[in-house]
Amino acid sequence: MTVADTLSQLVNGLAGASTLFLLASGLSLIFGVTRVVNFAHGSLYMIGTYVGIAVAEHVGGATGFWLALPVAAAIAGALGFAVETTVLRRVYRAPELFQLLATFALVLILKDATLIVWGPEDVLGPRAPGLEDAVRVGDATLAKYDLFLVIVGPLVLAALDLVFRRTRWGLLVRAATQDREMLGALGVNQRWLFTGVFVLGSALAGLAGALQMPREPASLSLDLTAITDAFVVVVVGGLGSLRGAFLAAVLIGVLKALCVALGTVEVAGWSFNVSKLTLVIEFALMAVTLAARPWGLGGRPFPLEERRATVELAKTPGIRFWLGIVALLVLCALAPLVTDEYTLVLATDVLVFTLFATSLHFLMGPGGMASFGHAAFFGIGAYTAALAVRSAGVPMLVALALAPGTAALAGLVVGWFCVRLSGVYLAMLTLAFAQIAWSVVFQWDDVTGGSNGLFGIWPPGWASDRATFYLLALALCAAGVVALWTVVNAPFGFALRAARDASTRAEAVGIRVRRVRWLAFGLAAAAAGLAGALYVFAKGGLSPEVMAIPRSVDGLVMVLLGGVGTLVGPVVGAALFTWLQDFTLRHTEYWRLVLGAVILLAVLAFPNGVAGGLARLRERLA
Amino acid sequence: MIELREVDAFYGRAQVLFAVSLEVRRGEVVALLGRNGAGKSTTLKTVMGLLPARAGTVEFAGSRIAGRAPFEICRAGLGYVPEDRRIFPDLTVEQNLEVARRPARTGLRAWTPERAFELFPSLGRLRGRAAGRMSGGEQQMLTIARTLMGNPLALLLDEPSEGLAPVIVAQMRDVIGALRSEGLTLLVSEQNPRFAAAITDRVYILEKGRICYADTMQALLADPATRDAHLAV
Repeated sequence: MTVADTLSQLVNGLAGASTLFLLASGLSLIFGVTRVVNFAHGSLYMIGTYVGIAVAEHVGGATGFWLALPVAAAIAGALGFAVETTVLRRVYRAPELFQLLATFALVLILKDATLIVWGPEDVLGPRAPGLEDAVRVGDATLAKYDLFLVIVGPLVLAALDLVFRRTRWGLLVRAATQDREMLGALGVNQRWLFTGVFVLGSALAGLAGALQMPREPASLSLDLTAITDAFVVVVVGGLGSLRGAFLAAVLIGVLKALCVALGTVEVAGWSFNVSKLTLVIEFALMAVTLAARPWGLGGRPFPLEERRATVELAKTPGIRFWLGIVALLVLCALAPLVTDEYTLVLATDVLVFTLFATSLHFLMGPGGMASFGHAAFFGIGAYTAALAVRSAGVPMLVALALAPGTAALAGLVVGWFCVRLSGVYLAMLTLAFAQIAWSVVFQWDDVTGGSNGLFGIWPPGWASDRATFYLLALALCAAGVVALWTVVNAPFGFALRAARDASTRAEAVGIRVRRVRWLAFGLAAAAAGLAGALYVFAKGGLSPEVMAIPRSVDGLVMVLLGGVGTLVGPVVGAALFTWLQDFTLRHTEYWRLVLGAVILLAVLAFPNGVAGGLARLRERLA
Repeated sequence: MIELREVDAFYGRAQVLFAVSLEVRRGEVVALLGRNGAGKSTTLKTVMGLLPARAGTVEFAGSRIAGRAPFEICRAGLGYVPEDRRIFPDLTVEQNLEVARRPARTGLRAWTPERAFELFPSLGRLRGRAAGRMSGGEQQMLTIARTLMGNPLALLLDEPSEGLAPVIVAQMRDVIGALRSEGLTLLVSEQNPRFAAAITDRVYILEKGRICYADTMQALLADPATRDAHLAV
């Protein structure tokens, strides 16, 4: 690798850093003022790219390209306005996780809206008129458009800095990030301030998307990749710090450029392709940042966290609850007698995801630790089982027993870091680990089969019948779920809940808060691993998709849909989600739209999740 | 000017105010006394709309304000000075004042930063300092100055003397006197009866969320038994 190549990689990295900064600054602003983690921010970025390309092609020429940028920003801003005034405004007072669910629903809806307008194919963007070619600096060729982007980032930072330091509106926004309630008591109508910030943040996302058009094609997967990247930048930079976000974006850009520039490195006869690290380097940086300086590069040590009303968990279930569960299990066990094969396959999926959702709920509800990367444990369990059968040739039952073990081990490793943090930071760290795990699986072709995955892993003869495997899944999933429920209502569960609600007081009465949380991580991971292993045999194989971010998001939606405050919530949520997904998928190509709309309606109608809502209804009727 | 009738308030499921009724007339300075946790701050927060009144009515300047947003109540002319100060730590003293600036009310002299610095000369010397990097006393002064920037007709002062050095407490007393002579109406919550005695006309005492005593300050001073029963720690 020559100096010249390194230089052009560096410029390329810095150009990416500029758009990344624009994207992340919008997210950071919105979080700072409204305290909502807006997952739909990446969707606005994606729409910015699509709109930009459409405008550039429609108008054509240089005018088209340069007009596309403000138009994309304006349309993203207008969408942000619509989203804020119709949805988010209604959920600002709701618990944090519930707001998350609302923004997840928006992600689903916006993705399908984009699919309806632009179709499933990637759309290639135009090149920037006048900046198509490259300049030569010494031996290096530097793309002109990249150089243009390198300048745009600092310019936007300077402009935002000016707004927030020199204008009254900017002052009000900064005051709102520090103490919203007090600002209201001083006569400022926060409602319009929030809307304004949301529109500005959304417009920045749209502009970032449009600026990327010559660099990457518009595709439907941009929304989640963009939001993940933006999260990383915001967390590394420090929540609410624009300069920190800029620094983080530049750091990531440079690190990625370095990885590509280094190429294959030989150390003591052992060669390693460093460029493979580009997929994980930002997450590794985030993990290091969170472990060493949790408040980020530009942030400040945490202010006192606003204590929201904690989720209440239903009383310890009595004999009637358990009788109901037994009755339900008996009904489930009888199902193969009356249903067709298709329903059994679907029912097996429901069982697997019930266990997965319950394990996530165990962390989020009683544990008070929202994991954004729970699919990692599901995936580690799945790969353990698949590899055990494939490479070691062990029987299925042994593989099913091994999976929770490795998943638990992974959970203990990840948990050791995570239990030191809380709230959004903890969630981000789990996301980072999940992404690292995913990229290892994705790139380790020799062992995991890389992006193709591993196939032909079916249950052995005695369990190959659908009904038999369904019953096996039922037995194992029920055992897992009941075990977790038992733990929740055992002294360990009380300690866990005490640690969630009042960690310092829990410490003071002798609970080792970190250890309790750490063990909870291991337990939840073990259960998720078992679910993953069952999934492999149900599907006959797996691919890295099983542990990608969308799977984690699915888990979150299941838990939140069912309601965090009840034991049966995740069961209801997983069943509802899996069934809804299957049902809408059979009737329409736009299943996400339907699902998103249903979730959004449920969110606005039942702030406590479906199971929680039903419980409240029963309370009112009684 | 400020009137509460039979107000109930809750934190979650726990009731903290029980049928609280009190009145502050125009130009009066009224003290709300009581022990820690008696509901003084809660009462002020409820008036300001920061905590909903589940029952009863709250009136300000003749119109009902219960159920309205804090920003509307502020614009109607009620200023709130919280006990925990809640300055914006990253903003400078001047910026803190700017954030709270509201248009002047007709017929009244508008508050400007300069006028606030006349009242609190030490703040004028620190105008460019980040508010988070000032002493507790200075922050307390800034909190009051900031609320004044909204040109309020009445002030809710939550424990203005709490945790301050005696020399600053004396200064606070002078400031409250000055505000009173400007014609401001004041409702001051206090734990320190001696501080209250120096500045107020009438007194209400709260105990466990209920008003248990209402009279003039002189009457309370002449009745040490009551004072000890409700206020002694």
